[in-house]
Amino acid sequence: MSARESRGVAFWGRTFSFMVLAFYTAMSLLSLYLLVVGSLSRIGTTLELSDLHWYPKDWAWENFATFLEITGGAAPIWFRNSFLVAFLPTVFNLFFSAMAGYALAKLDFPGRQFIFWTIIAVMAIPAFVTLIPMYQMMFRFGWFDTYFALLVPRMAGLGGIFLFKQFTQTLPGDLMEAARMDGASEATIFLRIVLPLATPVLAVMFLLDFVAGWSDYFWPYLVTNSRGLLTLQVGLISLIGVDQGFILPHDMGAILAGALIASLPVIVLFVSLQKYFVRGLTLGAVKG
Amino acid sequence: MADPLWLLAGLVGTWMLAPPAILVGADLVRSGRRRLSLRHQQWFWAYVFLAVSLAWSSLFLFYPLAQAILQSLTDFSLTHVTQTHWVGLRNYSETLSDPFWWHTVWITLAYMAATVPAGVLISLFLALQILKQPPGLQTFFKAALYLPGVISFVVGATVMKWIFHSGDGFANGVLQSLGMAPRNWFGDPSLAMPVLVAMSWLSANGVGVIVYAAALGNIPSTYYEVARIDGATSLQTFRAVTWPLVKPTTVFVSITSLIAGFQVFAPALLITGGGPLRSTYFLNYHIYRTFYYENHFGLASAMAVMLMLMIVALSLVNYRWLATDVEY
Repeated sequence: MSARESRGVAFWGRTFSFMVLAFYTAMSLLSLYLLVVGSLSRIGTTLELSDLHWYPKDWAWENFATFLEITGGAAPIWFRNSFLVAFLPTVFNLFFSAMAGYALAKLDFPGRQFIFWTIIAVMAIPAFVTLIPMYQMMFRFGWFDTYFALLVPRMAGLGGIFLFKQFTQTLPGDLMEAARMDGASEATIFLRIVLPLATPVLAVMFLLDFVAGWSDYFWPYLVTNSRGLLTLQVGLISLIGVDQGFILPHDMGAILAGALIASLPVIVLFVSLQKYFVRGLTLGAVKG
Repeated sequence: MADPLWLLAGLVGTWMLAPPAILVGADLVRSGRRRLSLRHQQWFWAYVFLAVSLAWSSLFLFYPLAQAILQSLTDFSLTHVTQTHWVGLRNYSETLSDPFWWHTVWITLAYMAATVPAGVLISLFLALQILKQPPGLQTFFKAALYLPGVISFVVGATVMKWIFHSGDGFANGVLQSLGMAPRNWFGDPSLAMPVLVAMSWLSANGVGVIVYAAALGNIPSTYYEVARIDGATSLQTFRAVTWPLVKPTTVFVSITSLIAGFQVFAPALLITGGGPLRSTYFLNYHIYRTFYYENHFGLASAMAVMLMLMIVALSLVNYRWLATDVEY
């Protein structure tokens, strides 16, 4: 094959790849786009599928004001609660999951395989199976309808341990061995060598866990009663009304406007974490 | 309110000290030596690092799980909480001899075989394509693939319903513009499952994409430079550099997809209701119905335990198959 032909193949290959990427992006953006359109349209209190259009037929900017109105002005409190529930446990979980993941990846100790497979097994349990025992536990602890019930159980997470373990496994072992030879303690190695090298995966873990907390509605819905403890998701669901079918007690456009507002922090977080997703600095650390 | 927090603190301490003490003690007795070796110090550090996570998991994951397993041996139900009886393994034998259980298992496995490997490969492919774009576009593509999926599943499901609406949905619009007859996508038992599979193929696993993108971005560029100088083709570079170095990530993405695949139930709950003719009655949906609608908590717990065993077995196979010691 001549050089010119191979350049042609490469060009079409790149074009094809780009088209595939663009296609998936378009599919993905469709739901977001329709959310935006819905929040700007006058929809009323029914959700007929034939009412969905490609553009707002009947513009209704007042949907956002209506949303604030139907929450009785409580939206800022919901927002604050959502932020607390998503942020505090995530920070805690991030640090301790990283510690555990590092131990499972790089430290040698009896029980390592057993603990790892226990973690996989417990991740495999459908969440609703442990829900009733957890719910009963909140009552026994006196945590029902308090911030404790919202915050403390979420501080445990196994997905982060698994992800961090899989990631640190690829870090050069020589690096830690060299530090150990120089008399660094395990804590120093973790804080000064592993954590800085793991910035990309820490950013991913923070994002995943924050989003999980932000979008969770079932647990907060179950363990709280007071209006002051509502999160955005629970508040939105309470506006839609459970088990009321397709006749809604409030304007659907206003609820979609609320859903759009609820999605903004996630978007902001993603964009601001972007710069940390870049490559780590492993290269040259050993071989240089 | 302080009591449970003290309990947590106690658990942390126990995990930090008890296992290494027992292990070191056993090792000292066996070897007859008196001094702590460097190896023993590492055992202590390992359990110190694991202590907080294990304490939290013990209380909020392992303990409720143990309770669920105990429940699977009873006829526990919210309708008669006070009259709970031990029934031994009856829930298990009842489930295993129920043809409908095997129907849901078969449906779920078929769905997974069609979606999990394809989903992992699509994520890797998309992540590789994203990294070829200029930095600004990379951010855009990652955000666009990841964010809509997490913003609201209900909105996403509504959109899918709209696309495959039996009357004037988007998919039928395409068919009609091609001169074909409209289909009743979710009303036809032979079509509902293929449509769900197609939906899975056409929507990217956003988490998989960003996890892969982070892992790929971490591969030192020297490796690619060396491969280029050696004159490797892009396929050779992929097989010799990219694939081995992202294997741990592949393990993560495929095991989490396996778990998600086994636990798939949102499409059944929000789109098909398990129908038509129970053709999309996934295993997890079956458990959920048994739990919340029929109130057979004991039976549902037994099913969930068996679901867990299947997931662990498949994950083990997957792990053994993909496990690797590759380091930079």
